[in-house]
Amino acid sequence: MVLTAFCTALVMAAGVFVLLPLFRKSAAVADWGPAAGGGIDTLLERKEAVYRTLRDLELDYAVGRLTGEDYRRLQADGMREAAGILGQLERSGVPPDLEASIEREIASRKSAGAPGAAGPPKSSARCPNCGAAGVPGKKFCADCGHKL
Amino acid sequence: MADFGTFCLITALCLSLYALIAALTGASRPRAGMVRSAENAVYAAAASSALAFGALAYLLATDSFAVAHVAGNSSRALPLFYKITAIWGAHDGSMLLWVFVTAAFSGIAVYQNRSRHRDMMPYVVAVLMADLSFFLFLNLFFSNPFHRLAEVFPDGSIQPFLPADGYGLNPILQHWAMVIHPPVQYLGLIGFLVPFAFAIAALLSRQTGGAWIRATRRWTIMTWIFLGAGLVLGGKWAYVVLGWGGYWGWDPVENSSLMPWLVSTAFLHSMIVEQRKGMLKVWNIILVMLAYLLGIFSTFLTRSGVVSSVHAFADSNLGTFFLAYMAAVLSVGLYLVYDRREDLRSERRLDSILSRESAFLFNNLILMVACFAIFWGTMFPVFSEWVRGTKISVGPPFFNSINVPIGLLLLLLTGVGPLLAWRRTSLRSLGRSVRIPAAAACAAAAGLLAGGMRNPSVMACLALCAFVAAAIVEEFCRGAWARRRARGESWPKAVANLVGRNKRRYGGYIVHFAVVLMFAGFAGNAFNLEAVQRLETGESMHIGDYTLKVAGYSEGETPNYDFGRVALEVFRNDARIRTLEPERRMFKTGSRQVTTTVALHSTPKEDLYVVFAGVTGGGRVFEIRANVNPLVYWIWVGAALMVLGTAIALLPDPQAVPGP
Repeated sequence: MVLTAFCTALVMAAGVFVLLPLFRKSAAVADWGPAAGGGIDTLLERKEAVYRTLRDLELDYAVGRLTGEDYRRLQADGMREAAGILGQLERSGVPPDLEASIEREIASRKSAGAPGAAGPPKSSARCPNCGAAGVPGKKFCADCGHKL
Repeated sequence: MADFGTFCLITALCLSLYALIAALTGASRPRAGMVRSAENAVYAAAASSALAFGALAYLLATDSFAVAHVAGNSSRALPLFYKITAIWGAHDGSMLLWVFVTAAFSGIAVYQNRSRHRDMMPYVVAVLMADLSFFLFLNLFFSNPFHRLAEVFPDGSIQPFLPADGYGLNPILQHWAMVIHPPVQYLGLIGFLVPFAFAIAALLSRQTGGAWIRATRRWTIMTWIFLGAGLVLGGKWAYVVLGWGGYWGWDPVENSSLMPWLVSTAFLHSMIVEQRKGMLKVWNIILVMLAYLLGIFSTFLTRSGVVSSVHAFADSNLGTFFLAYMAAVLSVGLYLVYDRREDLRSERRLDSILSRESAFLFNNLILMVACFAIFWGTMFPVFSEWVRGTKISVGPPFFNSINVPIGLLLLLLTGVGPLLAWRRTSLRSLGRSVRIPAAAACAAAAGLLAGGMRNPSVMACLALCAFVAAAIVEEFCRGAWARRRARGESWPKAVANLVGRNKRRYGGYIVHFAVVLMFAGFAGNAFNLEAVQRLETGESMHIGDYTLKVAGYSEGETPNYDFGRVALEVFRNDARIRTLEPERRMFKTGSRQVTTTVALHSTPKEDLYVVFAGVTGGGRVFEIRANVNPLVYWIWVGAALMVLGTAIALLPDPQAVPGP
């Protein structure tokens, strides 16, 4: 008897819990469509992926896995892609504070030079001959051989 | 309480079916209220499944032998934690564990995404509940652990039967590894349901831009490590309990857990490519579908009796249902991939063979070949019976002949892959990167040759281990050195910050290093020694550098079993190092099975593994079997390190400034 009453109470509680949302006011239909924020989410995810790739790239260059030529080529590709994504975000009406923070991040990368803030030491010179960034500790440019 | 357990299963089934229908209805005519109702039904189904699981645990803990599962798998003398273990000690209870884990995972996945991915969630709920409904249906109508025992009298009347004691838990399951191995294994086998549900939802909702991967990345990694941990725990159990001297026998049930692990390893790497480059989309859908289906296949093999295995439950009649379900899922999945092929086009092309993308692609191919080879060998008895009418089994020589070269290829890729950059790496860059690892490999090979090693597979394996290890160590050193030069940090701080700012990357390197340790452990297999001898007290036997001398024999009993124990003094190069005491246990309940308890002396160099195999000569002559197994220690160390590396990789990376 006690068990029956307990089970009945459980079923009723579960029923109320499950069916209650059917009688509440629904969210707007538009909120359920793929267009509802989905496009911006995708762009932001792509931006994050590009930044992650750029960070890996700088790390690979800083540890000497990439030549200067490879690094510059791949970085240019990444920056072009990032700029394209930022443009799409701007056209999609991304909130200004978010877009501004993204632009600040890109600007800080460009002003810090190649690679980023924790890349080769700030004191390492660019090659006066070909413009490639010097690898820490090297006396000659890895690309053209000019003395650093 | 048994009736309550059955009631909870019925309730869970009704709720899961409601959730399935409500979710699909809410998706077809977008209605948020309907989808929320479906999600609440998921929570309620999870709670109901948990109550059913708790009911069985209660029945076992209170020795309710009127229930068939309790009577068949527990006894009064069994310690409490083994009584709880008895939940998954047989087919019915383990099916309830599967249901419980599935329901819990479904509830967690829905809760995590209660405010996200709203366009996909109706389909996610539908897939989760379709799976849960299937297993609840099987559990309730074909594998109900709450059935009561009954006695049929000559006059045809049936009365409940209450035995005085239970049959007891299978003695070989009475070990700490078996307490945790099945739940951990199930977490791994079932966990891919969630990424799979999101993959199907992405196809149905046409959200194939990678959002589903981002939503399930952590699920995938955690499931992968649970599956790996389950495999290692199973190997550890086999090593210390079964007493045959090994940790992996290419048993069909072992293979059936290895296959989803191989496929999920491929998926784990391949999804990085989709996240970064928008490539390999079809690969990822197929891989996650296979990972999910192979998990179902694993439990199908264990329960259907299709192949014989030391791990399998007794034959059940569920094979047809499993096959039908897997066929339906595979058909729907492949149809959706075909129908949405335009949405799954890669956003880029492969720029170069020498690129990280192509390394991941090769990784996928090699792992799939390994998986197929293991599948073929595992199912060969079934295929041969269909074709020729006789069951032909293939054993370790077949699996080793295929998987050893594949393993070596994978090890090479583990070393070379991280040295490649995204999109394209010049030969010059690659050459610069492989200098030190290649030198380490050559040095290792030269050292092995000089030491008298002539086994080509072992030499290749250990040389590649040196290659990969050197590449990883060099990566850490270069990264830390770059930080020291840029910021003046000390070595420990530079390494800590290097890892802290790049957890995914360096967590992955730690996992790769763990793989190196495990492969080194596997290579030791080639030099195992075994000796069997019958000894009286005071006599000795020799194996490798060890001498074992019988010092004495004792007998005793516990409430659960009687035991005989031989004391062996162990000498290494004439110096006494310790005493080992292997046992034989004669269990008092159930089938009165006799088991052996291995005595183990484990060092980084080798394991001395001793089994007390039997007593003859009127109780005076003891049969001792001893093995020397080199490098096994590193398999367990590697497994622990793999868990650590995975945990690091799961932590979020900082989002700001790049660089080491």
